[in-house]
Amino acid sequence: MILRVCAALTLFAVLAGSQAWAHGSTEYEALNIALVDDVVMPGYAGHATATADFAEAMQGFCAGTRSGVEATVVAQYHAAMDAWQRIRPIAMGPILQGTGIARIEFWPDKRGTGARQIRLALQAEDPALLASAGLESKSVALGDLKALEYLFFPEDGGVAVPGSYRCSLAATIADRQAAIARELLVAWTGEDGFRTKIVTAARGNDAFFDAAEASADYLKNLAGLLDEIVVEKLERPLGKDLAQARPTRAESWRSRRSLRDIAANLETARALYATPGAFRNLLAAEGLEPLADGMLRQFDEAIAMAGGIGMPLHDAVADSVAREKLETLIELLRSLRVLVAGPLADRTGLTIGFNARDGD
Amino acid sequence: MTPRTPTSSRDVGRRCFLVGGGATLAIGLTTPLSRVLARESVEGRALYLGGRGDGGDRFWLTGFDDTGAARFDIAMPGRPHGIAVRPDSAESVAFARRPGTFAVVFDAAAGVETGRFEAAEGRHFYGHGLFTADGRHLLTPENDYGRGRSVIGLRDAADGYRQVGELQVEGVGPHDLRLMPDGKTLAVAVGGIRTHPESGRAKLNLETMDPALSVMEIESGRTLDSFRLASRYHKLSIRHLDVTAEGRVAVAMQYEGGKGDCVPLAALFDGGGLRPLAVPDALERRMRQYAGSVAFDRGGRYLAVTCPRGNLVVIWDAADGALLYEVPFADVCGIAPAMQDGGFILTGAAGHIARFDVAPGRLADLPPHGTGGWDNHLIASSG
Repeated sequence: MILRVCAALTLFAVLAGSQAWAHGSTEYEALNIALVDDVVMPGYAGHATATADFAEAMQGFCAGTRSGVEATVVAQYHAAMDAWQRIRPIAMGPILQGTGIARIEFWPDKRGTGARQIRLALQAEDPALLASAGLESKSVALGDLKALEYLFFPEDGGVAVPGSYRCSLAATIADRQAAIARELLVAWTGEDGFRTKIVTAARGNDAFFDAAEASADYLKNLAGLLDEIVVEKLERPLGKDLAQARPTRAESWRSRRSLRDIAANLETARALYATPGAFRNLLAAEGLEPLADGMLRQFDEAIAMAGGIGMPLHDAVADSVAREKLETLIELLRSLRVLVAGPLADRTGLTIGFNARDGD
Repeated sequence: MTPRTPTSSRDVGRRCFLVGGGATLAIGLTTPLSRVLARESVEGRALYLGGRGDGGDRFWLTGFDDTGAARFDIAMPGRPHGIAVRPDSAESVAFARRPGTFAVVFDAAAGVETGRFEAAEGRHFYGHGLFTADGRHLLTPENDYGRGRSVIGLRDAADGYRQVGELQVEGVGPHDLRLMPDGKTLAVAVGGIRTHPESGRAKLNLETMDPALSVMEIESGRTLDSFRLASRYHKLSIRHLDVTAEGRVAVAMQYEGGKGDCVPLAALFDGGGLRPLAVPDALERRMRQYAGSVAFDRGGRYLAVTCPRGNLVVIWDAADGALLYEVPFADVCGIAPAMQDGGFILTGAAGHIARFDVAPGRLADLPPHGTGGWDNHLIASSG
């Protein structure tokens, strides 16, 4: 006979058995469906459309059939990056296969691998890289959105003029990104796609033990995103003081859109929280409307602050007045992180494990 | 109590979804803390070492004694993971969680950092390390991703942990390792999962994984033998292990296949081969295909595996493979033997520390430390 020890500790009792959870699997199931259909699927569809449009524009531009539209191509790069930053917070399912999110955006790139490889590629002008699938066997840093940023916003002053190797390489990378986005969308929408795994999680399947696990994945993504914005996207370039500011650690300093990336991330974070049927409603159903509404106000405030710094992030970290605004934003995001991992996780009966992620 | 014998005939294709709850008996309410403290106050004090975080980006290496009383916190440059304790010395080394590159040397008696070193360019640590029996050298499993191979670095503790050699590992991803009782051979958990820093923690070879328990000779660097489970379990990554004074080895595993598969998460090795430890289907499902740490008790009779995804600890009698207990504990992962036979110290969510004793089957909470989570591993050192 196995002896199942009964822990009387309050915390353990709350977390250890589903019968003690505040919410039932029906609410988790409803949350999972609401988020996959209202946030995830539109996000991946938008990403596939934006990258396809960008790739098509690049082909026309580099072939010289659409002269004088470089500004349009750059705008479409930004649209593709916007679309990506909206789904970057959803780190679950097909995107985690293979080389993970690095195949779309290899960042942070703490050793400068991407810039170095693009520089070498431009020097060598290897035609093999431009062939179909020529990038597949290469480093992810040579075929991602960051590689495109190096090509469009170069430090060496080079320009992606039609007919140039630089332009052809950019078009090849854009094609690759469009193909990846298309494959991801199919992997979500197919008959046995990941959307189905989420929708049927309550019955158990290859991806989830139950509905609560899928709901917890959303919550972990929310907490993980807030961590990433604070630690990687803001604190690393900010440094401990003005003298230690490191502007080129900002995510998209070359294209001057680092804060736009953060704002797009936060829009999705807000949607994960506030979509009808999602976490805000679960908190409110617990009688915690003040907390539920307060968190929503903090998301709105954070989005507004990210859009109101008044200058690009890599300039802001070197500006004493703007630094104060960034530090206020960091404090706000830290506070949200505490609320997500604390009361939100506790009152919705979902565990954000420190040790339960991917094994060590 | 009916002994349960290990079995190796289970099919990985067996599905866990429709299994109902197993019949279990709830016993042993929490012992009042004062009783635990009173009993142990007349005995010596062990020192337990573990990494922990604040829920954000601050991390510490923390020492506490067997009453849970804090000894020290040492600030870490990132999330610490495994800890190597130098024999006959207060010196210990904490390693960065993979794919980290830092190692922090500290004095566990004084509770202060005494040095740091880094993995070589193009390499990262796997998060664990081990001193040789004489304390002279430190062995560090490393991913030499620049050259696409796995090695165990050999570092001279008397020379600032300068790397003086390395052992070539057969297979991918050596993770945790232990000295065998002869002091000359190593038991190495070769996880089988290929990763590359360019892809973060993404797993790159799930279809071709080939995990193993390898026995290596330190002096020659040779792999003397490698042991595997049945081929249908090739996605069961062998990650952590513990060894008794008699040379019995226990391994803890994590599964990289579908969530519907029923798979064992612990196995025993006694020289002949790996024998999976059986549990009922309902418990197997609750363990959530993930065992984070493994430890024998001080006497080597009892074996405990922690399951942070399942929020529980599972305990067997290692002598006959009988399943004894499942113990609920939120996000439990760190485990180390208590000073007394049959006892374990556990760490989990929200800074919690607890003690479990097999004989009465009793879980007792010790004073928590902070409010963040403890890292996966807890190491017992001398006081």
